[in-house]
Amino acid sequence: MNVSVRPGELCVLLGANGAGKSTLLKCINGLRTPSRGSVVWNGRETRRLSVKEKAKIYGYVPQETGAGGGLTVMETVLSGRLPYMGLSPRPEDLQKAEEILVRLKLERLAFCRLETLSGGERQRALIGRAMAQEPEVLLLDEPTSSLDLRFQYEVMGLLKEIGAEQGIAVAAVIHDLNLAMDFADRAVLLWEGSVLAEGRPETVLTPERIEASYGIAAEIGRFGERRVILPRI
Amino acid sequence: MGTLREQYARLSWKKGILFGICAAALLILAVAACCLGVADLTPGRLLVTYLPGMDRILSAEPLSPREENILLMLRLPRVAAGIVAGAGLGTAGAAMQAITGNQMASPFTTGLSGAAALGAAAVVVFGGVPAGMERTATVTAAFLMAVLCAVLVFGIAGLKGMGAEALVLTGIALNYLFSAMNSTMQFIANEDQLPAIVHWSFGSLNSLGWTDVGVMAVILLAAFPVFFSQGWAFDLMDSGGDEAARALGIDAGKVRLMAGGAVTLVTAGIVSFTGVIGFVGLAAPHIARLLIGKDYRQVTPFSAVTGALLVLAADTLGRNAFSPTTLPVGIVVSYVGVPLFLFLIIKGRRRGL
Repeated sequence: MNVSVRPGELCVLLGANGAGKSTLLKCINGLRTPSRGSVVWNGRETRRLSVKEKAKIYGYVPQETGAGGGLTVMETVLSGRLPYMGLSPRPEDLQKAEEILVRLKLERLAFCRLETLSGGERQRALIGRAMAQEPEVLLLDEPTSSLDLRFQYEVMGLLKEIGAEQGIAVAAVIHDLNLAMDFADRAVLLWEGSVLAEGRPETVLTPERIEASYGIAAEIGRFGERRVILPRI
Repeated sequence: MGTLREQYARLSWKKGILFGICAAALLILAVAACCLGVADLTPGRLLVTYLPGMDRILSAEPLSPREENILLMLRLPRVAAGIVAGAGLGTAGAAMQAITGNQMASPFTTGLSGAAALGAAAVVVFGGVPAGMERTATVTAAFLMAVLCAVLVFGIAGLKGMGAEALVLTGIALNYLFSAMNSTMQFIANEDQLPAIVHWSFGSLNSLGWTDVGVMAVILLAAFPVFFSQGWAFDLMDSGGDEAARALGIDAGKVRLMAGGAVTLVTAGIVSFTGVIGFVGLAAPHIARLLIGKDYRQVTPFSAVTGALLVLAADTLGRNAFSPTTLPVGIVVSYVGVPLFLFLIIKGRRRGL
């Protein structure tokens, strides 16, 4: 499987449940070892990199956000500096965390515990944590799945902005094909562990491929400039 | 208000001050524990004896040589043992809860207490120890059995990838095994041996001397840096699991092995001298959480203080409540700790903690 994501680009990984989207993300950042083949970063196999080295390259927002624990939003974002800092945050780590919190409009919630936040706020805090890692690639596993409509659009907009602003390659697993149409620069459609199609979302997401991948017939309509996928029911 | 950085620094200071208050409470309790007992020692008499010039300010009598001996050779080592044992079991409990992701865990979750008791019971039942070496043999056997048990638990859990679930389940299984072996020992023991085995399992600070305290303290001081350096790792493993921690550069399996090793050494080191002092390892981290919140970077050091407070308060009560009879600290600690624990839980619920 060959998938490419360029710096500053938002790439969405699409496909039915079990297609291998989350597994692909975890193979990329080394949380899982591929049964065959290898993941290469700048000429080095990622499995040969230390856990800390990988954490400096790949920021990761897991599917299970883990609402427990006693960390505040500020500390959650600061924990993203762990690949760089020792036991206590340095002044530059605190400054970085503060910049991110301001950028994500979380400064008002900085000293609230993560578990007390709404799903959207928590997701932003975890994106902030991944940003604090100063990664070259940002990987997100279903960042919008537990969010209401407004937060889904807010989070996708945010991912597109930070990818473009900071030149980070962003790859996100999502299920909502219309979000993919609206925000993604690039889409990868997976099916049974292999790439069915890759490219601009409007070229990847055709009615035929949607039916082949998801097993449901769909039409693509136009709503002004936007393309909208309508499953046939 | 200031910048977020300034607010963060202020909050860190406030937590430091709260820790200082708890440490001061421990110091006051330690002085009270030194004074309370059959021999009439008061803080004033201690000051007059040990601080030059205080006799001009206070009208108290200095300690007699006999009283000084009681203080230095009996009460102080006992108070120090209570502090070291409580601090050790408290921090080990916090670490165990972190690495198992289970707030019902304690240092004894991996079966250490049963294994140590078996080691001690084996010395009592099978004997063969030169005269005068009984105590050393009991301590050594208890320590080695506890370490052996931990090696088995972590070894088996390691075969399953050193996950939290494998660790807890293996520990529970071995707990049952050692419990059965202890029952077997008690079954085959004669009527002289049985009270000795049962008494060991109560957990007590009786007859602990400076050497014992020194050994326990050295083990604890060696383990503290391990516990305190893993605060972030504990927090991330607790809140997001192993994968989230790994994505931030933390190898959860390695942390579990390292912290588990430190928990084993501290717990085995303490219980081999004191016998089983239960409840502290479970309750001290929870009391710490109710005071300071759930962040392990604070919970771990606070658990040392709450554990020490709990054991010292229980031992002082056990020494004085039915004087001259001394109740073992392992029994009294639940009588002292449970009401306090329940009070804090109810208060914490109201505050939404």
